[in-house]
Amino acid sequence: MDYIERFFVFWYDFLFGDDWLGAVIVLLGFGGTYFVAQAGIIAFWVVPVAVFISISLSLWLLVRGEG
Amino acid sequence: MNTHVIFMMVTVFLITAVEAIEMTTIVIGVGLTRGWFATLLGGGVGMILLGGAVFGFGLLLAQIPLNVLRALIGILLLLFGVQWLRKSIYRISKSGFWSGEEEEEETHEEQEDQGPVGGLDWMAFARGFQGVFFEGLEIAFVVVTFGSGANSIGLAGIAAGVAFVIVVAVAFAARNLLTQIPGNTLKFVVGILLCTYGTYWAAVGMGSSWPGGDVGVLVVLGFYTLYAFGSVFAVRRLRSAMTG
Repeated sequence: MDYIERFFVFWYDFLFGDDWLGAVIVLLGFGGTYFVAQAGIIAFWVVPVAVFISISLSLWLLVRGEG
Repeated sequence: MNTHVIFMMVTVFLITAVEAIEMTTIVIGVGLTRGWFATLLGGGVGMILLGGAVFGFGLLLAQIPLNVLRALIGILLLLFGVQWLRKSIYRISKSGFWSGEEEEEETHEEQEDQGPVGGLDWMAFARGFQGVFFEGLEIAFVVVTFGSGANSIGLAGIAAGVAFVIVVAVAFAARNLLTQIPGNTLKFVVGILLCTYGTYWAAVGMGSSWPGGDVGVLVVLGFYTLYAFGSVFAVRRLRSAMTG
């Protein structure tokens, strides 16, 4: 693997790691924050809810996979 | 120096400590098994290139409006923090808070592949370079982003520098001490802090306000702390329920 490829792999691992679904849920939370805030509604709760769903779902999948 | 800046410095210090432990573990491991000259040469080249990358990154960030920068930083920190928090919750639920970190990286792989070629051990050089450059890149990223977000890049750099020097000094003075540090617990704490800052800055950058202004950081911190401890408990319960 050359260093340019390694560089991109680094950033993918840094941002998405081994759980792309969890990262997508968090990103949807950011998008949701933007649209809710633009609509004039209090939006600070959207990202914590997305993180809650992301980590909980990921942990559930991990534990289920142990069996 | 207000509470916000002190909180930021503590966070940068802890994150840098974790990354520096990983960096020194790689460098010392390769140095002991493959020889020091090529390993440290690779690490030195990695450090020089890292300096150039940080300089370029800093110049780039200076051109971005503050709110956009905070949203961007928040997204990056949170994506990073969610991974750490998830992994540490999972590992702690298995082996407890005082267990060492289960290192998943390929720290010692390829070390048996080939010996020195043409006078220089290129495998040791490459591993030394990778260890310093890529782990250092994460430290640099944290310093620049946290420092920019809090308008205190100098203080973020000092916190990181102190953590780095302490870890490297301890690593070379007493290598076995590194293996005694409960890596999962450290990542658990840092994961909570990363999620807290990422959430706070991203929401601010995207036009949302927090109840109580800066005090909102503490509310988010409390939420993630409760959630993280609750998750450790919940995962243990789930595992024991599934295994009967």
